[in-house]
Amino acid sequence: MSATRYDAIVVGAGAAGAVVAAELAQDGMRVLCLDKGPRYSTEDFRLKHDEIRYYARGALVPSMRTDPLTWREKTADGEADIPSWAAGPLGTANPLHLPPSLGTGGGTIHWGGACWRFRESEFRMRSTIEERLGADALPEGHTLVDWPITYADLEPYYDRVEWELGISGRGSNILDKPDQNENPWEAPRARDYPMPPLRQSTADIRFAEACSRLGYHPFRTSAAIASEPFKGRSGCTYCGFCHGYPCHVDAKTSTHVAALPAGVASGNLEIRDHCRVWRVNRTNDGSRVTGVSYFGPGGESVDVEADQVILACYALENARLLLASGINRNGQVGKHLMTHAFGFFMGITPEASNPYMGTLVASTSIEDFSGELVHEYDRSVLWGAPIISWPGDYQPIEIVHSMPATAPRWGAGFRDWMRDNYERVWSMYSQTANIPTQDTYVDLDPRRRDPWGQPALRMTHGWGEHDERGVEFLLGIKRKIANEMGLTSWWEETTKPSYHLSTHEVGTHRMGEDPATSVVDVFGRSHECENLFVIGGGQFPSYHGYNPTETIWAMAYLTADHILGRPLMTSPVTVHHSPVLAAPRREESHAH
Amino acid sequence: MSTGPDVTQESVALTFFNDEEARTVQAIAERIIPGSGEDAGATEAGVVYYIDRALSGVSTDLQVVYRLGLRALDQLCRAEHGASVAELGPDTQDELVRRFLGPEQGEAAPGLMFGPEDQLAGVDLSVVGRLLTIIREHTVEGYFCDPVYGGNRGAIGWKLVGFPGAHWGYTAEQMAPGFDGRSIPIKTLSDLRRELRDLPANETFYRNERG
Repeated sequence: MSATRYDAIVVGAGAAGAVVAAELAQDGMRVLCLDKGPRYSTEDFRLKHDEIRYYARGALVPSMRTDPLTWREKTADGEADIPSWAAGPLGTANPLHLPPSLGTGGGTIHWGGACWRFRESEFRMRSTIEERLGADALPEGHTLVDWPITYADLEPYYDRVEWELGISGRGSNILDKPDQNENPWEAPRARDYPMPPLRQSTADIRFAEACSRLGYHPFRTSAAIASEPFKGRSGCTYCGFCHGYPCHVDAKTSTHVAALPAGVASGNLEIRDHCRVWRVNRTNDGSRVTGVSYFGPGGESVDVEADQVILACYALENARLLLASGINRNGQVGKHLMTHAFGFFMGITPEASNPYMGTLVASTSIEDFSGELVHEYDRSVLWGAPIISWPGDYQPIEIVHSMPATAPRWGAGFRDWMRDNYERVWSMYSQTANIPTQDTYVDLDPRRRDPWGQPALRMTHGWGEHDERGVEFLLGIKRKIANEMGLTSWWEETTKPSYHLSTHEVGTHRMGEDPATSVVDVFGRSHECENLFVIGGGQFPSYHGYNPTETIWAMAYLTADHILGRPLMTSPVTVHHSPVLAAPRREESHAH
Repeated sequence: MSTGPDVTQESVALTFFNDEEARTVQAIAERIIPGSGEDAGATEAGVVYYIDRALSGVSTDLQVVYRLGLRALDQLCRAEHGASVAELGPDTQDELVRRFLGPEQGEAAPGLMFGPEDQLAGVDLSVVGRLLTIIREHTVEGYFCDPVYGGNRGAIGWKLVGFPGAHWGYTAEQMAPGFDGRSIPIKTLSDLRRELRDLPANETFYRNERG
């Protein structure tokens, strides 16, 4: 019954792929969506309250056996290896928790649901730094560029994400709610979230009060988790098995429940799971794609054809697949790799925090030190980030792995530490991205192949001096907050983390107007193959202090509107930097 | 042994280890998380059965390091003490663990203190170091796992730290400051499965006042 020719093939059913596949199918296109993981249903996850299955054994995530990945800190190090920092406590690197989950929903199955709009200045990070700190403030060899679009272009698409997929929160700087302004630095928005914020955990209240006393501006973190019934999905039950776990009641905004069902209901979307795409096929002159080849569940190679192919399988695999298919005429694929350092900061609260309840995003954040705002406090920091409370959603084994280096590791002292402290742990974090340089990139490992004979991905990535400086500055603020909260003890992640994956890898197929210096245009269309789209966080030209997914979703809707020839959405808000997508020169730039 | 309904969870049968190996692993696990007074240790939690089932099931790739490591550890113990690990007193067992995991408290990197060239009494110490690191991790897993995996028997690991286990959700009252989390009855995945058919539809489930 399976056809071999479609209007569009979407590779990857995760955040971006599921949204685009469902949009195209609902508009009447015949769509095939391929994913190398399983096709999930809610029933699969009813008994997900299992730290062994999902955390210790990583039921959702890839393994080094099937999806090997090598790393070196810099090109000059020569050969790359399976990274030692990826080896888990058993020393096996299996499971590998850091790339997103496989299967329908992709990373949106396991994610914590942190959902942020980028602020206006984030789209002009390079020019903002140069204007404020001088042209030579950026490090030598950096490859930072401004985005080819502005916040104003994405505002209506952010709104669409929040109201179509279901995001909870309490916004600020809203057109019709001038009095609701807890976060004075939030980018302007046409309307508020469709659902109120999630219920706070107990230690989060302490964090918010401490921030207020310090003169900061705490506000409720928005969340891709329903806080009340939303389109047939349950509101959050605060079960405490959230980040790293699937949702048992579909409250979490995972695309296998928030996007794919509407596509499937149209009758135009076929999903094939356990299908591992290994090559994008092209015409002889290379200017167009004809379809893809994949290994099916039995290992057989299958060819499928389509008028358009959309790669949406994460920044890392998108780049690997392009390179393995020989699509890299200008040498830009895989460059400009950016990822997050988390600045994890954990402590002990004076009274019970009951950290097994709630979700990590049922929390409070401060944005006083975000982006360029940090320059008011310390001009040696290129770019700041929000500080975010992580009040719950901690199970015992995860806390054992998070214990301070000074705590007992075994024996009666170890047992007593867990007995006396588990109920009182609480944490906060920030996310600061590395400045992309000529030495942060991914390519194909010349030595290592996966079990299907395909080349493994090789990462080259190190943390620079400026990257460390950002973590260090925010660490100082966190210590002030910890003191004000009355934490009885705390411990901190180093400013130069050992890891180089965060599930927030971006930048590897940069979008831009110039086909010589970027891989795709603002709609994700490949400069090299006109009917190929490569979408997701890989499009980001710069990266900041926020989780990538709401912006990935907003851009996915933009891609869908473009493919379907719909008029682009416009925003009623007043902004500093005008939208560019509606301007005539945009039309010209697409005539080439 | 128990005659209750959960007989499989209380089983002392072995699916990978021989009896001697199981005694050794149990003795080491008990030093990682010792019992004393009211605080239950790894033996009471059935940690060795968690490990045994992991090795015969999902972690077959770790069978070799367990086999070789336990053999080397036994040789070392017999050469130095003339007895098996399980026959030693707790203090001597602690000394043994300390040699491979480092002191209970401190900055030493577990399992990294011996290279393949390190030999003592003709025994390759590096494989023992790796084994002890793995047993430490497996002990944590077996102590805090859902009881379905064979460890955490009677949910005693969860009781120790005040973790109520697997719950459909928590109420606003339970999440409020000052609430005594230890008053929440512990539930397991087995309890949840029994309740599965009675779950309300997702559209109404959010109210979650079921406790």
